[in-house]
Amino acid sequence: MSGFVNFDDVDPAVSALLGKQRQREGEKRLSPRERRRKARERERAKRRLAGRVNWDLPPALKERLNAIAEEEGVPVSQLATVLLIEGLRRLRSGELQLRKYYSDSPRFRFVLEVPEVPE
Amino acid sequence: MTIITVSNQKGGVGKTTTAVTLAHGLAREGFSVLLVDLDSQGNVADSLGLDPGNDLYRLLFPGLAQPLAQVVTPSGRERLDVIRSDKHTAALKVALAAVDFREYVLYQALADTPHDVIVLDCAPSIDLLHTAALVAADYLIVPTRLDQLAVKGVRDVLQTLQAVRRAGRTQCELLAILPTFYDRVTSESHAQFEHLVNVFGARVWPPIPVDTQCRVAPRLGKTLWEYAPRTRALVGVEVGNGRRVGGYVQALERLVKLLR
Repeated sequence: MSGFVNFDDVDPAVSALLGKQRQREGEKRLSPRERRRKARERERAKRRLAGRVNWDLPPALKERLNAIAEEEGVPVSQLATVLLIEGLRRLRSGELQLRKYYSDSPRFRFVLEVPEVPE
Repeated sequence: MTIITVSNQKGGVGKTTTAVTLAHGLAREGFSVLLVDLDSQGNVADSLGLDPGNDLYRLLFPGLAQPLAQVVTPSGRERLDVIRSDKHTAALKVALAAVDFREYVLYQALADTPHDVIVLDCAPSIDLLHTAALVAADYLIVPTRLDQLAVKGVRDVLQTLQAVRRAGRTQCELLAILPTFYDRVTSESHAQFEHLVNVFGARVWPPIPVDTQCRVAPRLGKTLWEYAPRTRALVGVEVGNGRRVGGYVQALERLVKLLR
């Protein structure tokens, strides 16, 4: 059978499912106290997920943020949060005008021209 | 044109549900699909709420075979046609046994189809039509339950495929082993799933969760997409971080990627 098809590796989605199942099977063998503790940990992790985003950023911007966070010794999530809030404040006050960034290319509508990432 | 065979020599593993769900899913994705029932039980017609018919018999019976265009039956769903089977298929198999090159009979009959994809739903037995389906197919999907005999059942199908390939009669490739009736609650289901993956590796696709809607939908003559589009057999199970794994949606995504 092994000369017929290549059975190397495991499908990544299957691997994720097996990992999750192994975790569940492992927890079944814990004491009730340990299981309650694990459940509380999961709840805490779930609450953190409420703010998790998956947005696309220009690679240069992502690198810059990581570099600043490392220089300042702060988590990059907190740095991004501060910068976004500051940007929101400027948008709210009129200091930042989004229309300045609207693309005027006839090929694209509802697209912003993203400025260069400053050094 | 691509031909996909759905086969397992064991019964009750979800072959027809898989064939019907994937065929209708592909049609909804814009492919023109022909679903061919090779099982004399005629479950494909039942699952789609169609009247029974002897389309397959009329297509293949030696000396009386009709052109494909005359036997194809609309399913009532856009871009999905059907060739139905019924008890006459048993007589068809007897008649075909005396025909030369009988293993090519399906391939030849389907060769001029205008459809993009043909899905062949096999009967749970090793017979002439099963071999013909392997000869005709480009890809094989093997649905399998997660029980003690599952690995043996899958091995039997693969051995049949290997034999047909060795005889130079087919280029059919194993596309996926698709675990069905996956129950994440029981340790036994998990253990069997792990065992299947240990034996067959990356060819095991994410499983189809056990789901009562798979029984209800065909009873009403509807596909899962029509009856319960958010049911877990379609959308899979959650594995954390909002991700879902498994289900016919994920299987369909992979098929569409392959076909495009």
